[in-house]
Amino acid sequence: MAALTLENVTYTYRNSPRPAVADVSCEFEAGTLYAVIGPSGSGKSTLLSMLAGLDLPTSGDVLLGTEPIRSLDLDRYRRESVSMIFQAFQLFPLLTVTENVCYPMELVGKKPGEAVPRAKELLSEVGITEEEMRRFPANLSGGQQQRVAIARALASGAKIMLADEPTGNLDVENTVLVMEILKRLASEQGYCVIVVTHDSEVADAADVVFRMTDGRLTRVR
Amino acid sequence: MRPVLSIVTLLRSPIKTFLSLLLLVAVSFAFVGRGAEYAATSGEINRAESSNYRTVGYIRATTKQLFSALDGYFGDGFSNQNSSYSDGVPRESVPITPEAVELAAGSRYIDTVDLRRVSGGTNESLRAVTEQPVRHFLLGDISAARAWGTPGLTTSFAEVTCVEKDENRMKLYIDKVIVGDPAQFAEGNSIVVQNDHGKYVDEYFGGAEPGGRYFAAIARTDTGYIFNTYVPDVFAAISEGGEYALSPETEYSVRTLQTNLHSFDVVYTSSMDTMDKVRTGLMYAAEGTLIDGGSSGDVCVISADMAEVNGLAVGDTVELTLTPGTYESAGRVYGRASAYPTGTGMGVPGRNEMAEPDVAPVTKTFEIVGIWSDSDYDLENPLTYSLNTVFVPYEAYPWQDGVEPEYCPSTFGFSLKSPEDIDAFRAEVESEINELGYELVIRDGGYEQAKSSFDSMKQSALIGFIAMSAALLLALLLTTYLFVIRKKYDYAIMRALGTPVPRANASLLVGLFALALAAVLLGTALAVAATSGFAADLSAQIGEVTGGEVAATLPGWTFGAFGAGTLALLLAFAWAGLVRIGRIPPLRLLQGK
Repeated sequence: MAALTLENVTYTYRNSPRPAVADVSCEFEAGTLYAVIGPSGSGKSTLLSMLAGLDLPTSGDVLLGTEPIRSLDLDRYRRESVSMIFQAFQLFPLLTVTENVCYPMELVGKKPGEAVPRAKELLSEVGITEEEMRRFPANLSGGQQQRVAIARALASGAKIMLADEPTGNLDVENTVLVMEILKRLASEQGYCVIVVTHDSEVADAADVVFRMTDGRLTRVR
Repeated sequence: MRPVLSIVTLLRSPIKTFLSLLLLVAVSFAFVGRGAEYAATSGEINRAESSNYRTVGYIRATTKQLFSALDGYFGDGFSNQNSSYSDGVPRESVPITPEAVELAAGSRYIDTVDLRRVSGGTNESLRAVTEQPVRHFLLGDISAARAWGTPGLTTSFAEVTCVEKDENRMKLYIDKVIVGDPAQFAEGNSIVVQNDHGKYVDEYFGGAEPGGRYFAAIARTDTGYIFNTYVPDVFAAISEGGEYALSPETEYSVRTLQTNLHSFDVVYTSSMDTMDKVRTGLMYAAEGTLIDGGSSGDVCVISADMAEVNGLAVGDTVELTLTPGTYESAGRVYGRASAYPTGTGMGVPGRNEMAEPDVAPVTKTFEIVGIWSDSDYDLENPLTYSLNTVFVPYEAYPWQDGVEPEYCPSTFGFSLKSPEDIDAFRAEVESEINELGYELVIRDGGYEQAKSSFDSMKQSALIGFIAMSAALLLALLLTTYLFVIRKKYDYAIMRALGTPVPRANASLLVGLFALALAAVLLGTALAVAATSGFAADLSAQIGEVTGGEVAATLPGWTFGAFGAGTLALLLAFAWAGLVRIGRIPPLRLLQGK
């Protein structure tokens, strides 16, 4: 059974003449790293947003297993079933790095005494130092912020990870580092990882590649 | 979930937080202060109005009644021979119909209604007070044929001995006072009677011999004693055996005066508060209390003069034989003294006919609970009660059934709940009362003049309050808008990460609540300090209008109420803002829409 399925999903923004996502159907399996490539404005990020439950499709369904997410508690879906790495990081500017990573854990009921050590562990795994853990996001580099975002995404424990241009602001070294993390998640921990990117080298690391053009999705590899 | 986000972000952006706090403190201070001042101004003015301007009123005839219309009260034979009465009876004494009474009493603006009843009360051991000028026949001048006499002549009847005389004067020794004012005619004293009716010299001066004994009707004037020539037997000889005969008219006069001397007006009232003179303070309790809503049982209030004449005080008792009958006393608001019932030995022929012979008199003992005094005592004023009026509780009226009550302005009065209700009350009942032939008399104690000053004060306070309310509203909207805008990013992230809307809202509102609470507390404290002198100023302003001392206060609860209102309003605006953005999908929130 696929982890996530898209069935004839179409999404049209308000006041937009044409759909950003047009009648897309595909399945995403656990234990696989997917890449969705395409030019800017092709609808990649919008497609990811549909998968993340950030909005519902204008038509069609996104299925979690066999269950349309339209019929689920979307807040809970976003909280427990999927995790998202945003293109612009979307970290709380006035919370420390550690507090940012603790947030999704506290959201699911973990006490601070349990969340903080786990947050620090995850941050260490992505290469954030103890001193950097005490900083505010604005005091970190783009790459550091991106790794914090990855740690936060890992904190919720959801097995479906969605990453929107996770390497867009990174140098080569950090790009490799991030992709390694994502690949390990898929291959070793059975995550379903879906990466949206315009970087072909990032796509090369994926197990399956889709191309998005004018809202339509086609499998490349 | 810990409300880490909202509290923490407030503390970690101190400048923005301080500016927001400053704005909220300023508007809280202004709003709470103005609100408390307005509440105090409005409340104290209302209090001053209700306590200083008690509105009372009554109904009276719209046209003067001809005196002859009241002839029936006096029985056959009575007629008015005095021109001073020919212009009619004051309207206050003309009876009014129960229909008119019910019309006024049934209004929703009525606070209290006093339906007074009257009867006579007699006691041979008690002496009535002499009143001048006299329309109530008490030691008054009585002419022959039972006509009204000249008022102002206090007449006494006595058995005297002529001591000496000349053409112009006669000295008399008072052997026995039959009926008279002991202050003016005391047994064992001598008086000198002047002859001011020259043409009557032969009539009585000529007939008198020193050493002779006579029955004399003597009147006291400002200049001395004269014979009351209106009495037929003004100077009748007494035989050596002590016998003398009086004409029926004279005998009637004697009996009338004797009756008057021991007769009192009993007014049964539920509350004297609606009496005009009590409302204005002209009539008051010199000792004890007046009859009011708390009075019960057989208690009474007598005049200071009656107490002095009879040596009575609060706590003493008076026994009165009550009869519903009335006799002549037109022109006064007081009740009418009764005629002695037939068979008591004191009956006055003719006068008894005016009593209600089928109603048995009732004797009651009343405890004196108050002594009333009238600082504007003037019997020419129809609202003045006779000094011989005894006020008792309404429930003491012995004949609750079977005796048709008669109402007149002296026996029906009302008060309104508020002087502000006067216009509405008039609109409700006045036209119908006019149609019945009566007019409404309402006295507001000068409220109309004070009202404009009070309205001005209220308006001024209200304008200040409205202005501050508008400022508060703007400030709260601005604060809320900025807060929501500032938190929109955090809110979007929370929603994107799966935070339910209510929890996301609460998480942000906790911080705002903490900020607002601090601001309101501080602003309220500043407002309390800033208005510390307001109460004194308000007291002075209101006192200037009422002419009396006022002790205004700023109730503490008003500060709390307006402060809480500010807090609630801010939270309501913020909640509304968050609810609005809560409906926006996280995708659009993240895209800044």
